[in-house]
Amino acid sequence: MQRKTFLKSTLPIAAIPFLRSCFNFDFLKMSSASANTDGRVLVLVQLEGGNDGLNTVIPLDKYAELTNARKNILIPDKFVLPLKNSSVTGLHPAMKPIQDLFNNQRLAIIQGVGYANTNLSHFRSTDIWLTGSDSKTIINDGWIGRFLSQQFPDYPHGYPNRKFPAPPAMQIGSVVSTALRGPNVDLGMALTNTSSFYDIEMGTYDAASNTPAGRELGFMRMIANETQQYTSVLKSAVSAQKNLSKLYPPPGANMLADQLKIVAQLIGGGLKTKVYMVNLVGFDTHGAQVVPSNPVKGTHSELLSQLSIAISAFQDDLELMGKQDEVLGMTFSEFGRRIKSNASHGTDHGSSGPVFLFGSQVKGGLFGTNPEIPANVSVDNNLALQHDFRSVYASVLKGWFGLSNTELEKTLPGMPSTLNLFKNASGNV
Amino acid sequence: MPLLSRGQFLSVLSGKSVLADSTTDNASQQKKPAGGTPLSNKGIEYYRGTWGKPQILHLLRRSLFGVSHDDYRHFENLTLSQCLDILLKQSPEAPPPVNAYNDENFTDPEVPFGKTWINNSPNPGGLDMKRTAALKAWWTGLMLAQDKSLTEKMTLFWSNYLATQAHNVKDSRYDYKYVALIRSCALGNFKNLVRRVTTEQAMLIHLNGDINTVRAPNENYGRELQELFTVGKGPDSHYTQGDVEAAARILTGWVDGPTVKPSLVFNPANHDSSDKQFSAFYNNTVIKGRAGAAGAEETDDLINMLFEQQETARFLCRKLYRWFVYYIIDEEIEKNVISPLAGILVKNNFEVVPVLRTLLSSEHFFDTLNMGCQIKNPVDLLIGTCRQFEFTLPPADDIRLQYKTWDALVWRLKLLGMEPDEPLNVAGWPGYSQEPAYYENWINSNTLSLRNLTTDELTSQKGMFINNNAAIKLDLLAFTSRLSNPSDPDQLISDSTFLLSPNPFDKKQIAFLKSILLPGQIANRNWTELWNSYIANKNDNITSSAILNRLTPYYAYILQRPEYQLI
Repeated sequence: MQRKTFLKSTLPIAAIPFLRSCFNFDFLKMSSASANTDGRVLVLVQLEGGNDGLNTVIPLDKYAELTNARKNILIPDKFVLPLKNSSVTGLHPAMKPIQDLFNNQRLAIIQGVGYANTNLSHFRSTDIWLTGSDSKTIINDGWIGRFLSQQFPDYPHGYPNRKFPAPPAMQIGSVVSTALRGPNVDLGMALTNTSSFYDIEMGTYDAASNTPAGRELGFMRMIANETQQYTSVLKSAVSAQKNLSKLYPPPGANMLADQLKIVAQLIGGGLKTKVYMVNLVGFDTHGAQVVPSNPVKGTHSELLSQLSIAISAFQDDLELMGKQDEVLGMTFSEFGRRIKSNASHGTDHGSSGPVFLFGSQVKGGLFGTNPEIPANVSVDNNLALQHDFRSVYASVLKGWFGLSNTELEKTLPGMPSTLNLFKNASGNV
Repeated sequence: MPLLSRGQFLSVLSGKSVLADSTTDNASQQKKPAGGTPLSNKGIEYYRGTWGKPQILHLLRRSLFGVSHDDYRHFENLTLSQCLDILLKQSPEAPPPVNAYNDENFTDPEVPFGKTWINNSPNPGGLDMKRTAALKAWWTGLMLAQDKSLTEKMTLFWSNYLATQAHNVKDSRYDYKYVALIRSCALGNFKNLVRRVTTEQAMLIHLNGDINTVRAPNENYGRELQELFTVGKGPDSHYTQGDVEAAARILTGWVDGPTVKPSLVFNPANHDSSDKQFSAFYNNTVIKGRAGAAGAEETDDLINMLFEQQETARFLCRKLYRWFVYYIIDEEIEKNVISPLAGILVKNNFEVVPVLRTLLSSEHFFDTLNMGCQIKNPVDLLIGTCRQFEFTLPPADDIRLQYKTWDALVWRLKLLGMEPDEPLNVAGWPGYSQEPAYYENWINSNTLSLRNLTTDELTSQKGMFINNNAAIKLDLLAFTSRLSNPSDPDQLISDSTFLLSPNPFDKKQIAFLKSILLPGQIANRNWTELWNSYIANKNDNITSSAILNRLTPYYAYILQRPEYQLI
């Protein structure tokens, strides 16, 4: 077997190979891709568990129906945050910072995003969103992985190099998302979320015991720390840029803000990574989604508050760094929740929901309409699909990264229709 | 916190003595190189403590390459003594390697496809390289299909101990003979094996015995026979340069150059028939020089003399200790374990089974201090991972695919630093010979990444590349199905981590593993429902793919942990 064959067929799932010292290549990769993705970064914010879109982006013209369907969790309309230029759609009261972004033309809300025949399993539906499949097909690689594998041909063979010194994608967390899995190899590197984050492994362990096993474990953890292939490029990005925003909550208070803080620092420090993935967990609100006596409060409110604070601090940070025009953010969740609430002040798995796009280059506003809510809602009723999620992906790939139709077809076969989501239609700043 | 250099780290971890000892290798056994690390002070008395799952797994992890569900179930209701009866049984001889390398571009002019080449004439160059590759593949296949026996692990032990290198021997027939010899003697007699290896072609070529003549003595084998194979270089070994020269002279005459190959003969014309005088270390022994064919008998006398030295038995026992227990041997361990084992070896006329039985059933071996402290060598890691996860062996009737599969594994073993039949040097692989770090020599930032890459590739849904049509895939679903209650995610995590790592995962790691199975903090019942619907209909691709999409990163994460590198 030839060495090259082996490397091409080697499939790291999580660790990025440290092949540099083993195979000493450093030449420029000639990308066959026509897209120019320089100065373009995408930050994906995954809301895990299935976000209740109806209590996030609230249809003010449907209060009779909503009261009928979900009285025990409904936000009183007087608390709903209004959106500029819209009298019928508002936001959950915990989302003041997002309201500000919207009103300042830095946030788009795409209504009713999902796919036909929603699968109500967290696992399957997450896979559908991460791979970009429909509900019937199984795809093994991720939509970002397919996109980046065209930008980084032969990866990881010959990387890093002068033209591509940084990991193509980065997952803040320890396991690389399926979204970043390419046809042959993961295009992402996992970076553990710790306060001193290049102290990558050691900080996350209990101390090794004073035994022979502990001695060897400690030794290997030390080597594992040195093993991150991109350690030096990460360190130099970090040392080149400090976080500038004062809006970040203290470390540990907001898991998403902690992750986005790292992302902002890396972008500000000049790291040429194209896609970052972060996540916020806990959206599976079957019970106690709201505090019964005060539906404005509760688990969901906490999560939306964290989401809003994190995104606005991140956006503020980027603007203070002068990087705002280079970054696009997008939230998504594996599904929305049922229209009708359940008896435990929660909601069960449902279908489509809103997607947020944020950034200075986003054409702010509402895309789509308020969902229809049946007057006599049954437990099986779900929100109608307005935008297939692959159309949103395609809009980002084309409008933000400038993919050609050929490249788009390789990434999302079947050419989904696109929306015009950016201030400059061509996607060029 | 800034990263420590490796040297700084070792100093912090174990005190300066570890680093200091590296310069005084001869005396290291008698010092206490462990620094602050406590070592077992137990002896070789028969183990009478708790006999449960951790102990059985410990024994099997050290005796086999990886422990599959089947392996464990086979032993779980047996006593320690019964387990050892099975493990110490020598595996039968294996059918020899064959020509599986004929293809559209290459045809072996002598040996048809599927037939063995081990008895054919020498074929230097390209053909022999194909045969040597086939030998390495074949040996890897034996390890992959190992019996519940110490045979394969001991074969690898002898290959490390009495090292030859195929790339140096350059004759696949001799390499085969050598491997077949150490495998057939894997659980046999130490003295007999050293005697036979001494005049085995592969060793004669490897350590220049074949060019050692009365006119041009070559000391190479005469030295290594003492330094590496018998009396060793422990603190009580005091052989001299004169002893090296005397041994070399005894060994003259075995091969008379290339014309005599392949039939090895003793050529009296090349033998030094004068008397050989040894030093006080060998009690001033004189081995009587002999002319004619009787000159060959001097080699037997030399082996007898070397095996009369107490150091020879101790040297082997230290090697076995480092192979099966841990690499640090302090004064206590020398006294409580090595010396008594050496006594048993001598008393049993150098049969290794009684020593292995005593060591592997000792209080010392089952001391918790000696559990989970061995860094896996690459064979343990790669072959062990395949075996552990219910890897399906390639069908025996598809010889080409079998050899391709084994080739793919040989290639990874080479990258990881342990290619079969290619120990790094005359002393074997550094993981078992290079003081003071021993096992730690297996691990550096490069090999650790490659280990992670390798296990990532094995756990991936595409599997480890063999060729465009085949891959080595672990059956993660089958492995998981055989855990006690895989529908309960907490039970799945505790069972699988227990089986896969002798060192417990800490709470943060457990929580992280759970977040892979149950992302987004969703409740346990989501997993239970998914698993149950898989069990109800195993042919439903959507369900099994949803499970695999979690199990793949789940096991990839476990297999990347430093914990997984230990047995």
